[in-house]
Amino acid sequence: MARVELSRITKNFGSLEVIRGVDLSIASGEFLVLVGPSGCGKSTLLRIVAGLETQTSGHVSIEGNVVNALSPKERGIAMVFQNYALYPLMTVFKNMAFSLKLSGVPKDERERRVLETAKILRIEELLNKKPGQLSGGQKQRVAMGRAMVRKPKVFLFDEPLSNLDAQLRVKMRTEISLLHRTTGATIIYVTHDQVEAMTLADRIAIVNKGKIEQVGEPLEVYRHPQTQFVASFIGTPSMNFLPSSFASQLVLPSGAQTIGFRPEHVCWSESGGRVKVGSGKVHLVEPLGSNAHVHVSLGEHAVVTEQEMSVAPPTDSAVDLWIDPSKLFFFDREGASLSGRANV
Amino acid sequence: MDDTVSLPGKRVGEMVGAIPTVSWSRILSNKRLWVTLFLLIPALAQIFPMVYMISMSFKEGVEVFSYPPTVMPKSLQLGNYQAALEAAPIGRFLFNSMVAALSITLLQIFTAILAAYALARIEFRGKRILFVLILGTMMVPGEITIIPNYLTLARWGWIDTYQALVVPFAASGFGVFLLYQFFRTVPKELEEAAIVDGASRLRFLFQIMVPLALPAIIAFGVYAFVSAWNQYLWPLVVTQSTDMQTAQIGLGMFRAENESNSWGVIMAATSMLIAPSLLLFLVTQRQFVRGITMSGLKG
Amino acid sequence: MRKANLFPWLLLSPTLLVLGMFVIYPAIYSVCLSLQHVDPFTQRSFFAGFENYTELFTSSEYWESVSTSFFFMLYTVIPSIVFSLLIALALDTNPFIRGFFRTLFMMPVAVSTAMAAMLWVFLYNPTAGYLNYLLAVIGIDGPNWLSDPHWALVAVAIATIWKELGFNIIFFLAGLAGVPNELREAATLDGANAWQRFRHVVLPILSPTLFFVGVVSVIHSFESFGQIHILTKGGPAGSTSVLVYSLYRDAFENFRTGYASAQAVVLFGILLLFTVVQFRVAKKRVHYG
Repeated sequence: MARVELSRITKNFGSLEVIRGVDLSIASGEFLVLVGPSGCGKSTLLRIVAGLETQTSGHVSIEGNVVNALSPKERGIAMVFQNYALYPLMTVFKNMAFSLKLSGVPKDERERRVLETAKILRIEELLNKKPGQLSGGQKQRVAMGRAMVRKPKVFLFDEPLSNLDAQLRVKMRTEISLLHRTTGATIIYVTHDQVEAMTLADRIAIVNKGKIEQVGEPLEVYRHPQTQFVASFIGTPSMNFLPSSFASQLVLPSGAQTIGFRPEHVCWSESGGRVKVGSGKVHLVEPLGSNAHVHVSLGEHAVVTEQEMSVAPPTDSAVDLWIDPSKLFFFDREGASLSGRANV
Repeated sequence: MDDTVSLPGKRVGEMVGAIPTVSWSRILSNKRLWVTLFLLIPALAQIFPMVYMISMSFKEGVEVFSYPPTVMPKSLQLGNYQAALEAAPIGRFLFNSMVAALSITLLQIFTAILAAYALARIEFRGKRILFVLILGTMMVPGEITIIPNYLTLARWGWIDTYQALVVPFAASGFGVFLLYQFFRTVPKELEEAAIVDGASRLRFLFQIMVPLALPAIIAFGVYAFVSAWNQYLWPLVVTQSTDMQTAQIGLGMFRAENESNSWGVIMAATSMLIAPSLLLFLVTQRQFVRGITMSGLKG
Repeated sequence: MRKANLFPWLLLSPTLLVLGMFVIYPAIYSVCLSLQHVDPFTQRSFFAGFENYTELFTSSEYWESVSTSFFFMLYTVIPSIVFSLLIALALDTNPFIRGFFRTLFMMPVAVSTAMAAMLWVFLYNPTAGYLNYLLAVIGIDGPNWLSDPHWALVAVAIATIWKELGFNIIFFLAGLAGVPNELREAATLDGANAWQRFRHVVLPILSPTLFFVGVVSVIHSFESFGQIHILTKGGPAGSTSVLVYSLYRDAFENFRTGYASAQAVVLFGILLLFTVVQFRVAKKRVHYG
């Protein structure tokens, strides 16, 4: 169990700035998810914590000790890689015992700890197999087991589920949650999948272009995005944005350039103080079962709405879009969120 | 490899027709049969000299000169082998060849593993130049280095020693290149996992990377061994005493003295000197072929 | 990373040391030697400018070596490519016998040049050898292969082809494995006969291999030494004294280091030309597969 602090971290690859000043503190036992589009620098940030990459400037400290000069093994971390990175010619048992052997743990102790971990992950019967004989989900478990046997202070996950199929991903998500609860360890988890981020995290850090845009609990980030980027990245389908002229009947916070609203907040009729943001034509209805995504075109703009199946209008019908003004978000020219409420 | 049949349209019909009645015209019109017969001629030509060598090595006295020459000896006489062993230290020649070829192979593998790893996995200043330089040595033929190398070794007093046979070939640009290419295919994350697990780079290299590269290393090893075993010009130049000569050079003794040795004795000597490389080939055929195809450089 | 500055150099040092000392340095030193006269008795050397080269290019003996090497190349490369291609094509049609025959054809490759030459010394023997007996059976009075200046080079070439054939076959088989069966089948359905299939389907895909094998064979032929040293020692009457043989004799029998080095440099130039071509093709070949 350990606190992890990043202060003013930067990283350049040649003239390319990959991390541009990151401050982040992760509480002991916290599950923090770094989420962002590919190439945003989230993996580099994780690798800097691991010690696989050296930051250009700034400090990393674990448990209050600055670890800048320590090698990965001295940092008390364990890492789970995207492609599992299991040693192909070693059995599962040897894969898991490798780090213990290297740190001089005696043989019977090694055996005990590997068995104990294997039991938790229910991979005891795989111990004598080679990675090539395992399925994707099994490899994933072994990779986690390899990290767990060391009882690290901090677990680092680098997109661990992105090579699994959708069904398995959901299952493994539950297992990772379980791992967090049983070990109580600090976890830093990198993903580009915002659903994974929302479901797993104690707190989410949204990374964009080498900077952290916002850190907060999943629902807080969802409800109060501080930037237009965060608003668009968190939530599926993502938030709709229209020029502020669409809300001309409202008094907007000063500087508001863009209005945003979530697909599920769009209604078809006036009621209880809703305002009309425009009229358009339904050009696509995607039924999802109980709900449907209704795509509406407003001239050159397009809006996605989420409706109960029963109220979804047919394709090509004309619709009006009504929204409760309290559900509207406003962003300035730079994409920063404006906190003021709109007045009718 | 895909050994799929290349004339599928015809095959089915032929087989169906061939089962109930044996038809000679059908058999004679079978293309495969003719192709096989055609192949037999060059195949026989390829192995005949070796078969003839073995047969001759068992013939004694005037039987060697019997006319017409016979392929099968009248009886298996071992006298020629005994005479050959008495005429020259054949065991010593083979031993020298084995020492030289084995040392060269092991050293080339070892130096290539280290160099290939550095080039494939570590970023450092001057890497590109080194890479080009090492690869460039593949283009330098032995003929241009032989005179200066002879002078160098003569200055060191190494002529007629094992060092002289081995040390100039302790590294191989080709070996570095081959392993470099293989190492590049091993995912980087594997190494990072090992580093996080607390392994040093060298431990990762020898405990994880090398076992993974073993098929490539073995193929290269067989290739390096055969090349070293078959060397001729260099051992000819740097060995002087009979005791230091390799199999290839020692064989020349029989050529030079072919007046005093009968052909049976010469062929017995050749058989003994050829046997190890043929055996090695038969045992490691797959790796041998792989080594050659990978190299495409020298035979 | 942190220690990365010295570590890679440490790993590379054995390779760099050996290659530097025994390949790169001597290659450069050869050029220096070729510009010197070395007194064979005092071992003292004098700068001689291009004297060695002038002597080389005005020596009729050297030009004869050049032409011998050239003819040796013609005698070995063309037949060995034609035969090996035919054999590989035949092997490729019949996967059941391919493995067995490949082993047979490969055996001479595993045999060293010197051993192979020794076998042929015997086969060429005018009295005990089998070759002239076989020729006599079909009514030909075989020549005195190794001691007849008109036939010696051909004799060496035949022995060389015998040894190299399997080497080429391997490459052609590897190349033929890259010809998709669907293509041949498609061509058959289009009504192409065997020759047309070869010409329009197989050959275009095989051509990089063909070119590659050709260049490698040329380089091999220019580097040939062992078989000549054993079969003919450059004779009779210098009729088999190829470039490497002439170099060997001047360096290690006549002890004319400078003159021999000049020959080495010229030979290097010739081989380099072919090697550069070969590397270009090798790149393409890798690209293909």
